[in-house]
Amino acid sequence: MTQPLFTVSDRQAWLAVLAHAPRAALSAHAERVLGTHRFDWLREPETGLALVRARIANRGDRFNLGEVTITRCIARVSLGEHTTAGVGHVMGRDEQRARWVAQFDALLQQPSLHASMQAEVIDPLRAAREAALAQEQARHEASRVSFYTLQSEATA
Amino acid sequence: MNPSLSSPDLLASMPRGFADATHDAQAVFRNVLDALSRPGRLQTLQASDGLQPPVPLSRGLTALLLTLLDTETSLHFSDALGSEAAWMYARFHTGAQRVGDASSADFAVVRAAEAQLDALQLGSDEAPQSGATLIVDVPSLAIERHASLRLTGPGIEHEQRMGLCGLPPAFWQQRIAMQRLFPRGVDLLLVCGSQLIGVPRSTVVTIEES
Repeated sequence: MTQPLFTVSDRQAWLAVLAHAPRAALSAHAERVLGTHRFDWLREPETGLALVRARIANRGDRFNLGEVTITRCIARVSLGEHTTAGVGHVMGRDEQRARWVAQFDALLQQPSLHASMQAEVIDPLRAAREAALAQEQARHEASRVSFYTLQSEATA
Repeated sequence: MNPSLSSPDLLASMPRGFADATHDAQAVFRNVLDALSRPGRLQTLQASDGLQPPVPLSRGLTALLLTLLDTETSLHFSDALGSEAAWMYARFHTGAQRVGDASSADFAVVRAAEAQLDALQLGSDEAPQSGATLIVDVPSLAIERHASLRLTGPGIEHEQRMGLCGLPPAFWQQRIAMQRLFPRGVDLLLVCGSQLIGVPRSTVVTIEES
């Protein structure tokens, strides 16, 4: 058994990057990368609701935060003897974005394309998102107020 | 979530569902409606090409399952039909809940030789709609020479004849005994290839031997 190309958490990471990527960036990459491949849609895009649940400070009781619209689909692609299935889940009802995510995910699992896709699509998208988050954080940092209080009883 | 469904290999090899999910499901639903409103008459299931049934299910059976099941229905496969591939297919394409025990299933899918009525939900007089639907994969829907069934009741003007469809006479005896429980009971869908015959619980069945 050879070393797997990627782990489940690698895949989760790139799916998160793709799901957060802005439409324009995805579209630009899609035009460049996807054109030559033929995809088979195992599941056409479908829109539904998912219940988002949360826990305060990640320890409290679970509560229902609200419902969110999700569009999902599954694309399959065959290159040589490798058939891979990619899943696309995005927030909102933009079916084309969900298609792109699924297509990228399918190609990222292809042994012959994994490295180049990772370098050309995922890494730039991740860098752009990190830069945008850092900028946003810096903007908030300017108005940050720190409260110095006694330690709360709950954490004592 | 079932861990095996999230496996990438499983999705890569998953057989396709309806090519045109909305219109195929509508067409097949119409066929089922016709089958149940004209008991004993042969209907042809009209799903477009591109449907890939999982082993060991037939095309017609698969089209029925894709049409009738959703996340709120529960499904039971008999041992002969309940391969892992069939379960995964049903779960992926319909989201139906898997039940191991026929007595709590909304839909039970069996081969003719395994068909049993007494294990199924009959519903109650207050809620007869909770009675199960039994879908049987039968070897033939033709009328045999030695014995046939005479059907009367709603949807039949005078009488309708059909064969035993490979189901043992004991099964039809069970079905006849169930008639006095109406409106409780089980609706029957008999499938062979892409052909379908419906025998709803309202139909009165008698066996005629010649």
